[in-house]
Amino acid sequence: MPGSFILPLILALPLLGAIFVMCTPKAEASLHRGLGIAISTITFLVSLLILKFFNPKSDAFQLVFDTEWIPGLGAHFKTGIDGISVFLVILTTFLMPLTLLGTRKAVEKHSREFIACMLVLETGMLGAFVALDLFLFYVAWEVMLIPMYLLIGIWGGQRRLYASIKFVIYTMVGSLLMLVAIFYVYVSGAEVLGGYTTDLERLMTVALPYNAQVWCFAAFALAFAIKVPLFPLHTWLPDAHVEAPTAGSVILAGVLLKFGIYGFLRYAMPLFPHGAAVWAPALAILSVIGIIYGAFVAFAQDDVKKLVAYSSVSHLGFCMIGVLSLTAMGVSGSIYAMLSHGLTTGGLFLGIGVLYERRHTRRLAEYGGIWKQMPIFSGLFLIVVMGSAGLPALSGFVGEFLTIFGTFISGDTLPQGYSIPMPRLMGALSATGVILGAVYLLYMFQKVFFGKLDKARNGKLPDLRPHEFVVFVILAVAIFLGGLFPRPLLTVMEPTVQKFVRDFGRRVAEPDGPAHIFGSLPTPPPAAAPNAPTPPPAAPSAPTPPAAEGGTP
Amino acid sequence: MDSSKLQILGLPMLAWVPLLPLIGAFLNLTLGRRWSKTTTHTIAVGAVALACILSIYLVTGPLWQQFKAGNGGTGVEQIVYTWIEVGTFKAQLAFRLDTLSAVMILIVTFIGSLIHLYSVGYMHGETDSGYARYFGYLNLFTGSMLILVLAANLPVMFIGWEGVGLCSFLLIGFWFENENYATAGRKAFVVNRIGDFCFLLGMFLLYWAVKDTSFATTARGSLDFANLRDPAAGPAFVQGFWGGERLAAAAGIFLFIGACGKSAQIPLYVWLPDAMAGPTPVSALIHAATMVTAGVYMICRMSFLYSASTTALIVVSTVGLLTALAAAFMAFAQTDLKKVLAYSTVSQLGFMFVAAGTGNWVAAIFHLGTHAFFKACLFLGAGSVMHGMEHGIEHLVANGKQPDATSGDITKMGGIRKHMPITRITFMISCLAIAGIFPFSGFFSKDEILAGDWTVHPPGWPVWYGKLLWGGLLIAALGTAFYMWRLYFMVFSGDERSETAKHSHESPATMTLPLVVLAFFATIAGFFGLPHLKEPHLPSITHGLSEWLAPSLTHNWYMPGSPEQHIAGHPTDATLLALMGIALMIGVAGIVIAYVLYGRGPSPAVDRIADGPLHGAYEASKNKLWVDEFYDLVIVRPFRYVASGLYNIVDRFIIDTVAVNGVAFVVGLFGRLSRWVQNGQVQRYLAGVVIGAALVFMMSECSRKPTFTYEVKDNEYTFVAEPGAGVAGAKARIRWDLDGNGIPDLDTNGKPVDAREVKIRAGEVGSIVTLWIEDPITQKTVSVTRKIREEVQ
Repeated sequence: MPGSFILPLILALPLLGAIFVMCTPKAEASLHRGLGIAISTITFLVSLLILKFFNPKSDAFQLVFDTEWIPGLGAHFKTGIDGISVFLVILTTFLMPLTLLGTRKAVEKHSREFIACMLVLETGMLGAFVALDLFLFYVAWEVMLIPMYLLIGIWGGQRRLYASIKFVIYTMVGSLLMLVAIFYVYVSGAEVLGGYTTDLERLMTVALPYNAQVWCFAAFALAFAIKVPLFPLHTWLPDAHVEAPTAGSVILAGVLLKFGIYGFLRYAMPLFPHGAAVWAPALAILSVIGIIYGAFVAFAQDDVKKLVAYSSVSHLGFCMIGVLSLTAMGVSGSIYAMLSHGLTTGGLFLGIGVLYERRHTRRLAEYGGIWKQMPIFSGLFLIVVMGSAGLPALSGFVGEFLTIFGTFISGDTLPQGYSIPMPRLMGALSATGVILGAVYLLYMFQKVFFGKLDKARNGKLPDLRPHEFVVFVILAVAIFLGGLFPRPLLTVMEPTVQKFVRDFGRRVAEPDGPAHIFGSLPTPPPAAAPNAPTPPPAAPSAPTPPAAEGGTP
Repeated sequence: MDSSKLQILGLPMLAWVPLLPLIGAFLNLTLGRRWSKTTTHTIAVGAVALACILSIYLVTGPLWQQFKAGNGGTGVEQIVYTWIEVGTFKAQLAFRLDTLSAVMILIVTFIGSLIHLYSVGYMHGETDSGYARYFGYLNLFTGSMLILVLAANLPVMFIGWEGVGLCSFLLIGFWFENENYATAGRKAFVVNRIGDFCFLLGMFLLYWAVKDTSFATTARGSLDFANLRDPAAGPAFVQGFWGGERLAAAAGIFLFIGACGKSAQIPLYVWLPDAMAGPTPVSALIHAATMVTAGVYMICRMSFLYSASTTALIVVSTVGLLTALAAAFMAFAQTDLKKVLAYSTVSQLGFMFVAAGTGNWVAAIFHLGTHAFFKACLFLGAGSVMHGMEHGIEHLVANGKQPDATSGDITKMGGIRKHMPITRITFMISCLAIAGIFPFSGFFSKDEILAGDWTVHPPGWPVWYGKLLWGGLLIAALGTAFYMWRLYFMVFSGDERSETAKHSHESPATMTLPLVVLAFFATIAGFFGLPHLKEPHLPSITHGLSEWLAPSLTHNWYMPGSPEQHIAGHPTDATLLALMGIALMIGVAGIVIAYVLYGRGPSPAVDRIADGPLHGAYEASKNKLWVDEFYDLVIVRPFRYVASGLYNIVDRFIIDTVAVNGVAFVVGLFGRLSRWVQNGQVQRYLAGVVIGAALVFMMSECSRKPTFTYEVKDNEYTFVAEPGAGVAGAKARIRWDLDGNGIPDLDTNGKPVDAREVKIRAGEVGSIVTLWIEDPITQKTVSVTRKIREEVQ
């Protein structure tokens, strides 16, 4: 496949870069930073090649690179992208150099290890986005965890140990259950497919028995819901954000949270449609609660970083409900909202970093009147805030609008056997997020930038330095472009999104039965057609108890 | 004319109308701090003036041709590009200049230009960067409003809709160092967002209603106004929804709540009186040309939707009436110049909504237009007065005296007519217009609304309701004439009531020139909308507005299969003239009352009234009916409490402390327990072994009770006794009762059976078997009785 070298290349570049950085002398902080920015920029430029080879009209996986990895397990090193992941990959490679540039001065201690951590993290994140093999995905998923743990634990704030351990354990609980479910899929897939494989595309053709789907989906959903984070599994997020260094917060909010939604889209829902149908109403209600709850709690914060952290809970709720609405609008909107959230929330955290670097506090009460002192920064930050608040013609609007819209009208188009409770009410309730978003974001903006410049220490803050200025201008331009010209991106996503919705609809209509290849199980009443082909022999004996039950350690 | 040829630099001409101010905004907001004030205001004023010239060209040129050809409702359509497209939903970034939007862009760009020009004089005291920021915002505001009115579909309208909200936030909070001003700006944005939320729902509902119709996917895209207005969409709007109501009612009410936010109607009007925190020209822009007219415009734009639901019309007109009355009442006792004007705007907008709610779209737009002129003139005049007062304050300070008045306090004014003649004349003309005195513009537009109320009669409309609206508005009109002339007399008449007022002086020409122009239009604008009289027959230009707007509006009640029926009726000439007479008398009466009480400054009678029988009413008016306090009590504070309650109780305590860290605590507890056990001391391990062994023994042996088992084989039962623990098993004495008679069986020798294992033929077994075990040491006997299953072949 042409261009198939790109994905392994962008996986390898940051990893090799990290190794290279570790070989440089320890004390050369500016060299490390320069190398980090250079390597991540090269990765970004290489990742732009994807757009050259990507066929926007196709709904299949593209740029697929497939090579045997662990023959004994049937695990392959298989990577590829489609309309769902293509822009998430580019978002990742785009944010990384911006983050390193924007926080250039933030880390002084162990700068070599810091840069290496960030680069390994990039490899992990990219790997999880492009993996088309469950084994590879799980490896990448765990690889992301360790550098993030180190980032919080070493370069974090005062309660960094508590926050980092909480982050790791929380995520681990979910991912271990997911691992058990992966084993189950692996084993029962082998019975049907006639050989052990972890290839996602092949496993996606397997229709598991109803109960198995319910439990496997629950296991996957737990892992992903923690990552989203879905109410009430979100409490690790504010702690992690508050303690993480700016760069860590930007990447955490900008990219890492997306894996929750991405996991639902790529793994949980296609693999276990019946399970999704069972859990969807609960997930939908939780995401709507999250939208409102996150906004309320964000308003109650005095810590800017916590405020933005809770705003993520609210924003990602939109993404979740959009996916669950199973309309092209909702799903595309959800992906778009993720991209926009990466830009805007990334920008918010960078802005807080700018303030923190100068003032060493995150308390709202310590600020006020900053506009007077830092007008350029304030203006650019306002664009980011408005982008986050979903002002039309800025990027945040498109995603929010489409997800709410999709939810609102989904009542007519949901497939048989799948429902979310009262879609119009759900849409209306999530739309209250529009009001609440304005409430907490403008409150924050007013407290920091408006009012009298009456704290002596605020009177000496320098405005943006050149490297910060560049970062914020790039972000502001991206936020404007994202809001004014969403169509090119939406068009690229559309075929894949349509396929996702279509396939899910067909698979959820699949009657229950023992594990079999999707579409091969005869419908319960014998076919009326006289010359109906005889169904293939039933798959080997139905697998025994669901993995989630049997596998609890 | 082919609309695709109307291009400048490859972009559709219609797009340039909002784009010009937006470019101005971009330049001033990015580079403005680096260049002089002259450059800044040249760019800003130039951008809006160019937009105005372009608008005039577009209206008099291409649109006029379309109008002549009978296509005024379609007008000039131009698609810039496809903005959002997913599945069947397609939002085009498209603009449409029809006869309705033409009126709006002319008002917005023309009055906008004057306000920009005026600002040059008004804001000259700002720092360079503040000046650039101000003009940047002002341009952005104008640009957003132009997007709003030129939009060809609801999503694009929503861009402008939220855009003006943002600009109001920025401009009201322009002097952000004052925390109260910043809060007022935030309040404006948040209250508007509540409306926007409902606007979104209305939009979704409309899309949902028409998505199955044939035109849902045309080149125009979804939710295009022209498509929605298509008669084919009618059935979609009248389908049942939420009980017996038509869908149009739900969608119309949702959109109307959106309009309430923008156009400051009950219950979302509270932001507008606070909006005077911004610089005065901004208030003029918000109150006259932009923002608040958006809601009225949107309702008229959606006339086809409101024509399909009497419920929605009743809601719109009722809210309009209540707002007109309440705001007029609140204006009575205000003592701040701009606050009186702010409440008068709210009240006048109520008039417009009553017009819109009676299907009297032309009157709504007519009043919108005349109001834009006289209210802009009033606000700019107020700005001029305050500017003069500030001069007085400066003068006093320069002479080492303490200023004895603030710039906006009308109780400290009076006599300003002597110092500011131009301002005074223009202000008086506008006051005559707003009071509805013949022949000023407000007289005709207000009269159109009143006449419309008198005759309105869509199906399902209570017959008396139109008369009620008419009566209510008359009272509001009386109030308007009173409080506006109270304001006029307090400011300009009598003697100066402060040193500051004595030293006020007339404003520079950049400020007075716009006042004169606006006053001129406030005088003559009414002549475009004279009523239709049979005799005398007036030339058609005198009611040109209604003919001009007709193609863009839907006047007929929607009822499939029945003859066309106007929502509003046509009163006879006599009725019309009588109504005009009554309205005029009411206006004059209001002025007379104001003159009596305030003609030479506040008369002692005012205090007597305020302290006397009307004390309660006076306090209520002065405190704005305590609405802000009420909202603070039931919305703002509870919101804060709920937010901090959710955070501290639910988030921190229940979820994080109890659930999350609770799990961690339980795990940790086990950890600590096992740590205590495994401390490395052999004695403790040994004790553990002993205790453990004892426990194992207890559990395995002592708990075993005596019992017996049996099995059937070849028609023969074999019973085996199990003496259990605690009994000296081998020496225990055993007795069996196998036949179920209750006494121990004897063997063939006549002795009791004493064996662990006995066999017996199936037929001889009783249904109950008993086993006795006697401990030889303690002499205690334990018996076990079991029911035996019959398994005889």
